[in-house]
Amino acid sequence: MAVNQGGLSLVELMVAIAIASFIALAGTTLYVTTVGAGKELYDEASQTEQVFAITSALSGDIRRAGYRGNPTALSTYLVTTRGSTGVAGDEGDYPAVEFSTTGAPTAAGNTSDCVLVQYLRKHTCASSDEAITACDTNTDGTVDTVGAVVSVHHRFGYRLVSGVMEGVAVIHPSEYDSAPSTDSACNATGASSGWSALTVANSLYVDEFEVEVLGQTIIDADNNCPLGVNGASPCDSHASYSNPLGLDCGNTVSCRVQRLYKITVCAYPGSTDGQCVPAAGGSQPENQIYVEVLASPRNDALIAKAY
Amino acid sequence: MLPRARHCQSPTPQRGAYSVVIVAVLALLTLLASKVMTVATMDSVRLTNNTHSATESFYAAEAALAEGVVWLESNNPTYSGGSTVSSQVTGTTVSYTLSKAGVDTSRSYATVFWFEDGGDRIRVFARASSGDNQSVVSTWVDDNSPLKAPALDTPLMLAQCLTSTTGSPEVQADPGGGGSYTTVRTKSGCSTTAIGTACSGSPSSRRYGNLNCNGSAMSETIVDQQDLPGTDLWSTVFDTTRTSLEALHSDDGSTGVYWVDSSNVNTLKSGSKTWGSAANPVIIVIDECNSTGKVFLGNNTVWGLVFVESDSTGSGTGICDLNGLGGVTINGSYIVNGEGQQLNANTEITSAAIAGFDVDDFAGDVVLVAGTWTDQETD
Repeated sequence: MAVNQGGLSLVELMVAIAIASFIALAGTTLYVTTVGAGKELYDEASQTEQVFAITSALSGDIRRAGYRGNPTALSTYLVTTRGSTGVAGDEGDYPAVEFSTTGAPTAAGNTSDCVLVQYLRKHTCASSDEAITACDTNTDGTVDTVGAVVSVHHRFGYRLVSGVMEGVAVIHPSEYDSAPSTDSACNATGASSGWSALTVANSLYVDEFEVEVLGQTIIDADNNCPLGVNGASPCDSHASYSNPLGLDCGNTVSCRVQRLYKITVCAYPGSTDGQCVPAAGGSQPENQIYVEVLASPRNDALIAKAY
Repeated sequence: MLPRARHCQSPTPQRGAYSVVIVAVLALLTLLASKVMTVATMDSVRLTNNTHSATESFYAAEAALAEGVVWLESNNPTYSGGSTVSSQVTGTTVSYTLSKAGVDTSRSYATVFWFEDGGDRIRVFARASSGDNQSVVSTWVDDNSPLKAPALDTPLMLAQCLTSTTGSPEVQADPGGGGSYTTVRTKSGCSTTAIGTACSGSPSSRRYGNLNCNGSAMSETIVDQQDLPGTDLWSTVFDTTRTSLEALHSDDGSTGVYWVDSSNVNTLKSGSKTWGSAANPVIIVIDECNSTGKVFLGNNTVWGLVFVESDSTGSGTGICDLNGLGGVTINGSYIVNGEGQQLNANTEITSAAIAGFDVDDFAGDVVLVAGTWTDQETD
């Protein structure tokens, strides 16, 4: 029995389809827009996070730079790591912060796009760590005790290569009996390089990465007498310092140096070099991220006078 | 003529089903899109909040560390450390107020600090915590004594000569005997007649250099005459400037430094008293002997170092009449930055080594030891 089964008329159906299509179109547009906005938000957050993670990690490493352990280890640090070939301003085998691998920043070269930070950390000796002196103290080619915890200097590096930030985290090469298989120098390339990307190339182009020494204060470590500020070779020429308090600090044997660093990172989505504009500048690339961070090591750098 | 089909004339309850379904599907899609955006935003916010909290607790721990150093500096005369780790001291709560969309949110971090005894140096720990979020930092500190080691090497030291003594003032230098020691140090070329030339007796008595012992035989040298670096003994004795040390002084002894001049001598010299103790030795600078009515410490007991200026310029070339020292007992060092005359009878000066303290026991600034700051993530 065909009762109450009447369908829509053609006109009604057409009107319903038209309205539904209109709603579907609007809904689809809304969906696409919403999803697109969400993805854009996610991408921007990801890009910001990439830059933030680098500046945060580097700030933390600079803050820890120059940690030498307890005072007993500290007292022999310069003597055991510097040797008779030490030169003026030498911080020993493990300078707190290096620009390239040529030593601590100098007045002449106080900016770099590659920075290496050193400080002491604990390391658990594995059976393959026979080349690490602290794990194989008798250098017989066998780790003394697998699982033993030793304190060794670590190196943490950050550099900019072709728009991509790279990082390296290794035990310092000087802690090895021979050259380690992983190259952590600023100019390391090829299969032996320990550097790996910290940013995603297709997502973010890092146009600028710069670490700069903004200033340094030099203190006579023997009597905590402030020596003032001088140029390239801290602690080398006692008489040349401008003592801010007019004090006679006596004969300087070793110095402490307090430094302040500025980290600058500028990045944007894309692949074109040289478009970065400082924060206060003019026309910036779309979604440019420009960050300036100040960081100061909590440990003063130790420097022995030239001898 | 047949009537028109009824179903073409009247709508049924099933009409409009397409629209309902489409709207429902669209609503679902919209919800999904919103969810995607919300999750992305929430992830970002959560990440930022976690990083923010870690930074907050770190700086709160740094504040606690600074408070610990100040506490140590203030309590240095009484802090005895211990062989391992001290009990924890509650620090000031560190609070942060965050403003988001006009709404202020306050977060607080409880802080504590404690110490590890490392002999001459002390390790200061500090922790800040709020729920599961906490940071710990530490650093070694050094008690930067205002004295240099030579300050206590010789119980009696003069920049010039000791030209006369009265009675038999006793100066005791070496606690163990049997080795080389210095009881009195003057500049070179001074006559030893006034000091006493030789004393007889067994080694145990001879090592307590009894000055002016009436010419009896003395087989051990108690007087060291040498040209000290510079006429002014200040830089030989102190590891700080006159201005800096004077700034540390207090008449109530709370800083461990007394600075005596004409303005406060009458207050400080009243009555017999004991200055300092073996655990908390003091520094007394008399600036200078001629303006303070000679040397006023008679019948007093001093644990620490007494530095007497002989003139107002600190030249180390003036003359001090030491006659006012009668009956005094000084455990530590007595240093005259000039010439001393009439060292009095019944004066007893015993070296710090015998008294049982050294330069590190004097209160001074607490300074951070470079290269020893670290946090829990590293160490």
